[in-house]
Amino acid sequence: MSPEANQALRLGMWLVLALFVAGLLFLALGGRARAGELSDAPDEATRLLLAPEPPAAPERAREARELLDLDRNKKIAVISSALVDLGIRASFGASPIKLLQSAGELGQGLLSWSNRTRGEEQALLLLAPDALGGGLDEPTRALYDRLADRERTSLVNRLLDDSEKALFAGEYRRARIAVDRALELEPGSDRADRLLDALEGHDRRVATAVAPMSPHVAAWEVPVASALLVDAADRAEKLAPALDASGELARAAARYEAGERAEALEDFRRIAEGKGDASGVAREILDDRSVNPERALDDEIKSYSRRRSLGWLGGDALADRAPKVIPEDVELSEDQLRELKETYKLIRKTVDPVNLVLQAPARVVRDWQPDGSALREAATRYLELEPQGARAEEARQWLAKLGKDERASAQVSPFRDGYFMLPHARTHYAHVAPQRLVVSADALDVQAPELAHALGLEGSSAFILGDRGLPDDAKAIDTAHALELLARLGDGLDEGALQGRSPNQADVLEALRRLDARVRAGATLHAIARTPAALASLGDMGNAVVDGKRVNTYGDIALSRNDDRIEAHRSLGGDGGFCLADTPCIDRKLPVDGAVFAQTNATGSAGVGARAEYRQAQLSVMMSSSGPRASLVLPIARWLGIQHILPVEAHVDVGLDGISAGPRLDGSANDDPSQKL
Amino acid sequence: MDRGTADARWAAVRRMRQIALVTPVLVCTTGCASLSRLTGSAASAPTGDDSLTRVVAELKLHLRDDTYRYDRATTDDGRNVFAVALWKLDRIAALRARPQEQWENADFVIEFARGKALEKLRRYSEAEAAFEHVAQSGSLLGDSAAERAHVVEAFVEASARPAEPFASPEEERVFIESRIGRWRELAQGTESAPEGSLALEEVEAWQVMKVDWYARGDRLEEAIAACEALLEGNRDSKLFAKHLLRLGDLYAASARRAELQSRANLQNLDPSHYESLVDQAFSAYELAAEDRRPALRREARSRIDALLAYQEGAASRVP
Repeated sequence: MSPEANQALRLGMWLVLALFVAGLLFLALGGRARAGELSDAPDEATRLLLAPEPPAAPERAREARELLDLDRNKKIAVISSALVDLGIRASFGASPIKLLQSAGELGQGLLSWSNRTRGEEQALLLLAPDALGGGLDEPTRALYDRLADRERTSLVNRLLDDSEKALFAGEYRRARIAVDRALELEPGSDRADRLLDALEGHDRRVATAVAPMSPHVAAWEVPVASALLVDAADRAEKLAPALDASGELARAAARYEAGERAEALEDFRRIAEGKGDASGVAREILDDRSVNPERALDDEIKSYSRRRSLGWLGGDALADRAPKVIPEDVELSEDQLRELKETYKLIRKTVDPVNLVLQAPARVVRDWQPDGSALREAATRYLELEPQGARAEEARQWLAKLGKDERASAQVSPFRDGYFMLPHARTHYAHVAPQRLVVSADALDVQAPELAHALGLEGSSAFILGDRGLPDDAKAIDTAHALELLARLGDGLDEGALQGRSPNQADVLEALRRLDARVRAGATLHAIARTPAALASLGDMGNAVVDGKRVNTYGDIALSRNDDRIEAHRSLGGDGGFCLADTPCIDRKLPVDGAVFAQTNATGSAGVGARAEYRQAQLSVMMSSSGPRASLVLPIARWLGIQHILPVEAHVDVGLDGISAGPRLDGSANDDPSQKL
Repeated sequence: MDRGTADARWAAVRRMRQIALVTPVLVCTTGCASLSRLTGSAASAPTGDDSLTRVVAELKLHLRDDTYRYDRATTDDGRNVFAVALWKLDRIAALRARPQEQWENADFVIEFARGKALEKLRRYSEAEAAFEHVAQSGSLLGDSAAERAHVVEAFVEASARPAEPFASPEEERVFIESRIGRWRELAQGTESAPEGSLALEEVEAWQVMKVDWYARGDRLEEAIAACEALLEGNRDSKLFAKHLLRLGDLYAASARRAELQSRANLQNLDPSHYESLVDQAFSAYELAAEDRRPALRREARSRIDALLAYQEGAASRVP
């Protein structure tokens, strides 16, 4: 960093510190003043209670001034608190959102400086009797006039706000009453005049709208309307007068009915360009997606393209928010600002280097597409209504591009030979009837070697056990042996000789218990060797890195990406590569879990290292691009069984920049199901 | 600690960089949006005067709409076009204010158009009355009105309410079945006519009633079978996704029932059966969530979330 920049930074820090100290001093002084006021309060109350007569005018004036002073102090306290908050957040490098929040609070404090307060109301009430009786001295009278004026202004503003809201909501009577009251209080109010103008404008519009329609029906209208209603389009077209806009409208409708849709829509466009009521009707017709399929097609193409662009940039989440990201009508309401804030957060995520470098290009290369069902329907409708229309070829191209209707695709279609059959759910939910369990050969060797030998569970790195859902060639195990096998596996998990690899120890034990219950209820346990999982190819590894997944490849190496960190990982003693997704899995438990790894992240730092874990304590050593580093994590709260109260663990880091030690939040504490109440 | 401060500073710098990158995108995206609300160039103001020709022309454009496959057309402010047309026709008729005995040709045209709008609104008896008025007049539209009245008469008969309240639930079921049969006949007879879509809508409505009848009687298995038949028979319906939601609800209700009975020791819970019910419920909701209408998608997703929450608790309750 250059000396100038360093100096500027120091100056900035000093300024923030000075503000911080000033704020604290201010708060301390304000607090002392307030404490002083409060300490007198009980005495004052006693004195007032014992006083034989109500307080005299000077005392009421004094009390009113004290109330006003108190309010002013409160306002200063709010502003100084917001200022200190802003300073603290700025000095600690808080997120821009937090900084904006603090700045907003400060702004609110400043803006509300001139707002009326409850204290002012009380002060006005205290001064009112003497003001009416003419018993106030000159300065107090001026104060009273100022307070009364502020009250009137506030009341007028409230009435006018209420009137505006009522006008917006269409409650015209209420709006008018509020404006009238406001004008009584402040006869020359410009704002009230503007509202009155708006109300009169509305009255004029209503008068026009409810003006009786001409009961006269032109002579030509009867045969034209009749012809239209009885599907005699040719006759309607001939009978409609050419020089009348309504006649042109009828002729266009007749052409539309006769199948000349493109020409009819062209006619409607021409009429819409004119003036008068017929043009309004023509515009409405052109806006009607069911009549004007081109409009629907245009809208959907625009929406699809917009979602696709946003989807390429930020994936499904951003594409789904397309209408909110680019709203049709910008309305500066609280809701829309909230939406914009959410959208900002989403867009900020897309600026993440991993997304920009890996995911976004991958989506473009893979030609990621958003949901096209609405566009498909619009294109199909267009071709139904205008098979020879000007956009027919484009609609066909879109249909070809979007592929077949998803409903008709084999993966999700609930129809088989015309019969309705729901496919299996894709949602991941908590299962209550586990049908399968994966057990490693190591686990069987540790816990039930003779039994495994007797049952022929050999020659594979793992076996799948279950009472249903296994291939036909699965080996049936008699009830006694099955119960013994399940019991030994359960014992192994309880004693710590075995470990549940996924989803977690408690779920694996629960799955084992349910399987045991099923066998006791008469089900037959089957076993089959676990087919070795296919090793990931280079392409699979690339996909795993892009999609943030984990794959196993040659040499028992697992490659994974978690947020912006990519890691190649080799467990010493196996890492359960034989386990199946969403299936409980049991493996041998090593006294010490160890692994070697290589990792890199989005900021470009890379390193190799090793780590070992014993009873959840972790020691790791790593050589990275920023030098060697070692760390020790001791989950003391977890060992003491108080991690749900105090979810922290002790960290010791040793690196080139020194030694650091201290507590850190144990992120896994809340995930422990055994601690859930 | 030095390192911590440096990290914080770099994080802040990174965030500022993100803001710098994101701000133009936000500005661009919001800038692309139309500012109609602010600029006040709103949609066309409502027309104060609607001539008979204009109302009929607008109505005519929608008389062939397939209301079974697609939602009924709406105006730009979301009102049903047939209801709007009927309202305008009623206004024209009210302004003319002629007693029926003094009707002229224009009045019969208005009445005929009313009949068409009422028919599309599925108010068949009122539509029939309107067509009858015109048919008896001897006007130009007399023959067409008599023909329409004949078609609508069958619809009126098929949609007539029961003469008296049902004596038993079974009587109601028989009535529902008879209605389904009758509307099916009408749908087959009007397959290529514009009113064919109305008949299909009626068949569908009574099939939904059948599902509802079973559900009301706690016969969930039969309700599920009826709902699956409803889906099989209405694959092209605009309400297909709604029926999927209904089916999902029935499966979810069955699963909940099984769990409740198990908790009350009324029956042993078969976890596999219970799970298959849950699985089917999720599957039905997932399919419904593929609908193109955002409101339905949201509805389906919220039901998936609700069932997930229920299932999370059930997993610990099921023995």
